[in-house]
Amino acid sequence: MPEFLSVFFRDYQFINGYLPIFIFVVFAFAFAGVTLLVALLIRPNNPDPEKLSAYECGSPPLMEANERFSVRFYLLGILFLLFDVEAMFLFPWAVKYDALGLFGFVEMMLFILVLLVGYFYAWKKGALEWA
Amino acid sequence: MEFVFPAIFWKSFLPVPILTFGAVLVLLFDVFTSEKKRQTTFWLSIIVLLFTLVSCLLSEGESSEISFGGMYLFDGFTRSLFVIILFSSFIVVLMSSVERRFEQNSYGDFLGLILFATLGMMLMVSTRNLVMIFIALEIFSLSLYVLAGIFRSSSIGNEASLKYFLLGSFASGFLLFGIALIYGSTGSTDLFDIIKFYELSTQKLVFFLGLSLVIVGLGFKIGAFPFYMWTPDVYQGSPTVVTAFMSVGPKAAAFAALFRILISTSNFSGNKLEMMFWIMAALTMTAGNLIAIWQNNIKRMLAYSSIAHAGYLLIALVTIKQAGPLSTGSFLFYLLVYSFMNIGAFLVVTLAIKEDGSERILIDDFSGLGLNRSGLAISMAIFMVGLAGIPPTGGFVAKFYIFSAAIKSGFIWLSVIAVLNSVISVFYYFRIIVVMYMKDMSEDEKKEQFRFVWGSGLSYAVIALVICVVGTLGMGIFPSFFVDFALNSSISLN
Repeated sequence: MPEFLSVFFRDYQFINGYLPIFIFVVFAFAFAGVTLLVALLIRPNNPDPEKLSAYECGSPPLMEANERFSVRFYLLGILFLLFDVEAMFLFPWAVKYDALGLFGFVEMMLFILVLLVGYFYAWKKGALEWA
Repeated sequence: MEFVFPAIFWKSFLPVPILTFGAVLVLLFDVFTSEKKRQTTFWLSIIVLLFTLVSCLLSEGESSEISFGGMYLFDGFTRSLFVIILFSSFIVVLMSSVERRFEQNSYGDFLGLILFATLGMMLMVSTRNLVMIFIALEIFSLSLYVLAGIFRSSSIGNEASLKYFLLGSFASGFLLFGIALIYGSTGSTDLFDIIKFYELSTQKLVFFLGLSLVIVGLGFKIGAFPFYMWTPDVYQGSPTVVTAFMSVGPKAAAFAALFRILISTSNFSGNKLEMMFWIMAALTMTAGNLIAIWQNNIKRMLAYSSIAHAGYLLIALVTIKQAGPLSTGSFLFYLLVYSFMNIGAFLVVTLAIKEDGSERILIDDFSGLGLNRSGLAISMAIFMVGLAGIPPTGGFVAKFYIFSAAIKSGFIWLSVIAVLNSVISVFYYFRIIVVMYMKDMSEDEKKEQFRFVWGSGLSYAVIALVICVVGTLGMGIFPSFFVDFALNSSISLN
């Protein structure tokens, strides 16, 4: 930390460790703002209907996005979360597999077992039926 | 990197895996079998609870056994709370057999959620780590949010569930932020390490800010004074079975966490926290008792009464520094008696249904019960006398120990306030007895008859009622066994 700055931060010693994060946040906002500003100044401006329509992976949009969804989308979202979180824990375990050894293996199997119980429960309750 | 295997005392840890796998078994059994399963899932959960109870009675709890590096901690205090929590779940499962409103397939969900909530409460009373406290709190809170709205067609149940969820998750936010601040100032979430690192910490103010936020989060769960607003609505809207469940276990769990936090911090917090809990206890019981007087709805009245009882329990918390074992002992004994009396009172509300299956909601609906349903009315009268704290019920002995702990610690004024509050509470408890015995019910209501058949859902609920009555009276007439048990359940100091 530079000398001249520490005068201001003297009362906030415990925040010192967060200074890099603060600088990072400032730079993140500045970078986004500057990029948008520069683009606004130098880009050509000739809009047409194709360009202004919503981008849906290349295919033309069929309807407004702002409408009621089936509640099943949320159910599916929750089920997705189940396996997303599982994968998130599987990666570090796989990387450190040798160090964690048998204990890690058993723990991970227990974790997967618990998730499987939830999956079977959802399956049997008909969460995967689309009719 | 060398991975250090944490020490695990399997014998004292056994109740947790038994209940975990038991709950999963109940849930899966319900899903994978098709017809005639209501009885079987019921018995399965009874067996799981009994196995868990036996396994936790097998460990002596003489000295504290610390497993998983402080994440799991088994001492006498834990053991007694395990017994109380498991007992309340046991009675609630028995009680649920009489409930006829479960939709198809939802009874297994109900029992599974009850078991998971029990697991969460047990984990919360057996840890000294703040992160574990938070996770355990979420386990039982999420189960309770769902349980409150388990009858999906009941609009008042849905309202209760949503209110409980929104306010409960808001309170969890406070708790989590508090834990973050405590971690930020001391560098640990383990209460044992926090004591050691506190002296080195340069951010004492941040620490106390975090501590008070944690107390806000836990105070919400026990329904202490400024955070009790959710209680009546949620208690009223939830199915009576669930109300009985959430009036004992979550309070026990949150109080246990408060006890551990207060004991750890009492060395350096001076009497700041003590003063705070003094005021909180006085206001909680006064608010609970004064508002309960005005209630016409029996479940709302019992909700405010449970707030008042949380106030009495807070007295035990205030005296922790001076009274030591007497404080935790009187707390445990009070909680045990309270669980008998309070669940018993809700049990009577469940059993006193009218012929069309609707509950007696208003206090006036209970008129004439004493003349036409004498068994129910006598039980209700015993529970009301017990809740008011009058001998020969256990409620008297429980209040006696709590007040004597307060007087021994020098909190004379707090005991005066508490005694005055007990006097106020007599009014609304006795009002029910008066209504039951001194008014008559309408003619067409008199015709309803209980048909008692062994093996029916009703018979299990009646067994639960008998257990509650015997417990309430037994602990008033022969208290010494339970008092000794409670006083010997020491809380570990490290």
